[in-house]
Amino acid sequence: MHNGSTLAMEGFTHLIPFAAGHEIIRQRRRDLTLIRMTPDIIYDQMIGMGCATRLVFSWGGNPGVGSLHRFRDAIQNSWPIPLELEEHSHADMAARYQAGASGLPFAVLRGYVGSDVPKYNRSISSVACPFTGEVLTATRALTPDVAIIHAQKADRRGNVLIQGITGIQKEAVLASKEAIVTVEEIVDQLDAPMNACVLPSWVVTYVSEVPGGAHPSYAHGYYHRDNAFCKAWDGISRDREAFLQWMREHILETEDFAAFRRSLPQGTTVSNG
Amino acid sequence: MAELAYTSIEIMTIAAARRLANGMVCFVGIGMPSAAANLARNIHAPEVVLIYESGTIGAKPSVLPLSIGDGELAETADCLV
Repeated sequence: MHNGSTLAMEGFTHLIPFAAGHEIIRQRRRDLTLIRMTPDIIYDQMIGMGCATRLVFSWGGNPGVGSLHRFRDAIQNSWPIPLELEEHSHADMAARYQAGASGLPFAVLRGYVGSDVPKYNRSISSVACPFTGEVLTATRALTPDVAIIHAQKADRRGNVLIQGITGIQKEAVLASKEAIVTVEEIVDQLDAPMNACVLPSWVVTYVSEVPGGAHPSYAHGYYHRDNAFCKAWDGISRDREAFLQWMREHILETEDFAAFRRSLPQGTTVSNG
Repeated sequence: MAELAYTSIEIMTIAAARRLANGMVCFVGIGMPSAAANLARNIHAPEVVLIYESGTIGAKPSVLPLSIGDGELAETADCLV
């Protein structure tokens, strides 16, 4: 990751690449454009630590818990630095990744009917259907510099298997110039069922084995969401000093994700269950 | 006046559940909508088709999902896209 990169970290509330986000914070990357459907706790942490100057997103929040307080503070008070927003709908973002993955300049959807969003977003326009004349929404393709996702397994050649709710990860990887995948485990054989969601090694730039790397989100077949942590984050993130103290103790002063896990109080550690 | 034995959230959830008839197809959000839709499915609309935005179609969760990414939705869905 380089300062100034355009980065998509995907995982549609499942398989969220937390470990990778923590490492970007440790490396103190700056001036990132962050892209994500459902920016949640990991982007709250990155925004609060000043990694991002721009956020391209659809729906932001702590899923099932409430608002993101660092995200809110950045928008309302420019703390710690100003954050520019570009907001889309989920269907729009998914279509934009698909267009990027397909090498197309834009995607078409029947969206934003009755909405003012396109007026305030330069990545959303309209196009007339050449067959029926219907005016449809045109939305600019997404082609991030880097995509980062978390998956269950990779084999030793770097083929990646994603299982369960796969969100937009495959499209995000294919749309990006480079792709980094953290996985629960590296195995000799993927043994992927036919029609499974497999990313072939030649679309993946790097694979890193990080067990528990999606904590506190879910990794289907490995662990459930750490809901106690998601709720606790609401309190930690409300106050700037409490937030900074938590980030220092658990992220900046831990060497890696395994050390981060050990730094958490009992009861919020990753469990297989 | 007697104290109300229910909250406004509970009565809204029940009112929403009553709007869902058996066999309807419903796009469901987390929170009250998810509680209402599953209440309907468990009482008067066993064949209601619940779609969560994570691509879980025909989900039949036995416990309410914490978020749209909950594995309970994926494991109980008719199909996952």
